[in-house]
Amino acid sequence: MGQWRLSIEGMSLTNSPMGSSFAFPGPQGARPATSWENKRWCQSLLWVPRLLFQRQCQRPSEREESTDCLCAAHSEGATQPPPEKRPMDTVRIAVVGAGVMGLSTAVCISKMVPGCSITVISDKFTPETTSDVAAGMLIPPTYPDTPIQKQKQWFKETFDHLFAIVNSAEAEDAGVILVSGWQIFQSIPTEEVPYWADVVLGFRKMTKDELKKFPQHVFGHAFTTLKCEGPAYLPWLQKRVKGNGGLILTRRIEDLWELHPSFDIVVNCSGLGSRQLAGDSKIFPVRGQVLKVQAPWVKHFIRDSSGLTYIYPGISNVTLGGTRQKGDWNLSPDAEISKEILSRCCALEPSLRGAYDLREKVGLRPTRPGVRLEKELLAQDSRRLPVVHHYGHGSGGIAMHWGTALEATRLVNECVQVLRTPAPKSKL
Amino acid sequence: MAGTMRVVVIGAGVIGLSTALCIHERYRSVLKSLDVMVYADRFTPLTTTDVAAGLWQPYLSEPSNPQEAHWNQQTFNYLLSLIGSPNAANMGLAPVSGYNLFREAVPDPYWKDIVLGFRKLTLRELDMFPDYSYGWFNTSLILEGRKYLQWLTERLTERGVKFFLWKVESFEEVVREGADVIINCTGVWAGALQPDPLLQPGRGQIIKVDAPWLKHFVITHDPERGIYKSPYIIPGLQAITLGGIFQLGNWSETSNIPDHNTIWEGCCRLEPTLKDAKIIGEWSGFRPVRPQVRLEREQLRFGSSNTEVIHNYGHGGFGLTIHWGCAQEVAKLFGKILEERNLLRIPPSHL
Repeated sequence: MGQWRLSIEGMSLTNSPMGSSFAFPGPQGARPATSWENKRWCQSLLWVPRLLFQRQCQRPSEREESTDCLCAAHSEGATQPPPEKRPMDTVRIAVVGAGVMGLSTAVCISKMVPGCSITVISDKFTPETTSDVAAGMLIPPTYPDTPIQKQKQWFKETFDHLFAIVNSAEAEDAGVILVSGWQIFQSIPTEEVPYWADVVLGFRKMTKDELKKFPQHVFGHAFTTLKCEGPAYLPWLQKRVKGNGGLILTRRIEDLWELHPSFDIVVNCSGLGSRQLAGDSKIFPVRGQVLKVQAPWVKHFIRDSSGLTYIYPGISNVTLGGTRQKGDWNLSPDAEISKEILSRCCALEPSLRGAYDLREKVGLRPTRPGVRLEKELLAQDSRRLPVVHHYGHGSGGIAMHWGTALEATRLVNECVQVLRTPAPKSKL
Repeated sequence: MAGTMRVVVIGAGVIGLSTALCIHERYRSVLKSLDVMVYADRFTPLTTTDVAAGLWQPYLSEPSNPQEAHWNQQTFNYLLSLIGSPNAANMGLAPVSGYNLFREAVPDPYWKDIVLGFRKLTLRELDMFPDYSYGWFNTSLILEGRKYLQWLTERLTERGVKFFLWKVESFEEVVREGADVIINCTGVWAGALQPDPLLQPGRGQIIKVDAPWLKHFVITHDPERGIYKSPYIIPGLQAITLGGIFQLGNWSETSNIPDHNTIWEGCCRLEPTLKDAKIIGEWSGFRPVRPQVRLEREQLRFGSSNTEVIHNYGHGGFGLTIHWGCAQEVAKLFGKILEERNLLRIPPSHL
């Protein structure tokens, strides 16, 4: 290994346990157009314009192919192909977003992709993310643009992952609990058994006696499922990210190019932020308002099949909901809506009239016809930035998160393989 | 005085208070004057009922007296009918679902069609309980003793029923106070008023913890050891009850460490997250165990007066489960007494 010579001009440094350091541009941070070809910056050293790292090779006889080592000692200005990674080199991955998608993807990558460093970058962290507002019930929605088999796979993978946690001593720390209850219908549905029926536990149709409790409803499902609560689960994931050597950084990213060239791959888990970061007009908010109340005697969930009215008992409160307001970006709770939610829920569960300590919360579901789970190679001039998009789960974030995180991780792995494969020399 | 009835209920647990309420509800309007009084040396939170976890669930095997099965069902149906009311939680009443676990296949219980949604456990559900290979899932009800007794006390007070802190030493002294009918709801201490070799204490000890993430009851069974000698976890309206002690003939009311350890180890094995649970307290109580519930009339002669006693005790570990059916039955017997004495203004409506 060569010696590191380091000169810093003004920017703050953060040290990671992996030994690499980097700094970020300030808010004005426009990068000058330095290119790999001309500057020969070595990997894992950052960044322009203020910070310079130079690695010097100690023994020229040991140096590899000049294309592999990009330090100043070895090349004099000839045009070089895009950066490659030797198999041993650390791939630097930035995960944008620290909701359930960002954090779970970071954990998956740290477990499944060898030789990479992970940095989670977000402007919001628990308890201020959308994932913190979600009740976290594992009752999946249906995405019109995704094949049912795929959705079932994602849901099953998530369920199995959380089921293992709920059966362990860590369940309470991780915010995962087992809860039984009913999904009730005001008219008999065309599909009496949903695709996820054999993923949850003990699924069956409600008996006539059970339906007597809900005079406005004529049909129902009874089953046991899981509830995964953001305010406990996200910190639990964060601990895992850090425990596996990952870094967590607070910063608002306005443009994915800010991450170049400090990072080799970007995983975009920015939810609604992708409207700006990925220029995706297909994603829009579906506003959800909920009440989190004290009603500890409520032990079952009750969900109207419309998805508009639900009662979800959690670890330390009961979530009453809700609303589905398309295109509404307003994060402030509306008192009229709260009254109306309470009234709808009391109609299903009259004992809720005794609920106390009511708190209003609003979340904007990052909604899209289908989850965006795909690679994109950003290109600008001679710069290249591989991005894996992982966002747009709408109302199914918690329910699908682990399955989609695993898939995102596979895509990241593909990007890593590409980076580690030596490119054929271009004829110039 | 014609048309006046003085009823003394001895005992202020769930049996005493619910019987008092049932009688008053049914007969106040058909009698010229009805005076119901409750005499007890223990009131909530010091009764046996206060220690009970409160889950509606009869024993697994059929009772020797088939009437008991009927009273269990009556109680469940009555409580279920109150579930839609906004007051349910104030009464201590809420639906709860959960698991009964066994080490081998067993026949379905006789009450499987009384509870809601009874079914066998699937293999994936059994994976959650590695020590058990068979089980049931069903939805039942919690009727929390303390809350329910408070609620019954309020209802009785509204109706003008009076409560007296009094350790009754004999039926005779109650008769001397002017009682026409005595309802004997003295539970495990009935033997002090009238020897009953069939009645024994079935001592239980429980630990109450704060573990609000647990939403299901989990009751394990070891048929060789007997009922409630195997760990159980039963959520109440706020706290969770952990138990698994049933000691016949043990009159010790203080909680002890060996039993604490038995309960704690057994329940933590069943539910590892209990390690994070905060212990709120520990209590002991005596299930009034008897081969059958004693629910019958008896005439006692003291001097010149004939006093009717209706016994209603010996409900073992299913007092809350059976209480309303028994209260109705006592009310029926009471009605017969009124008929015999020609005290009814109008025939009692069949409620």
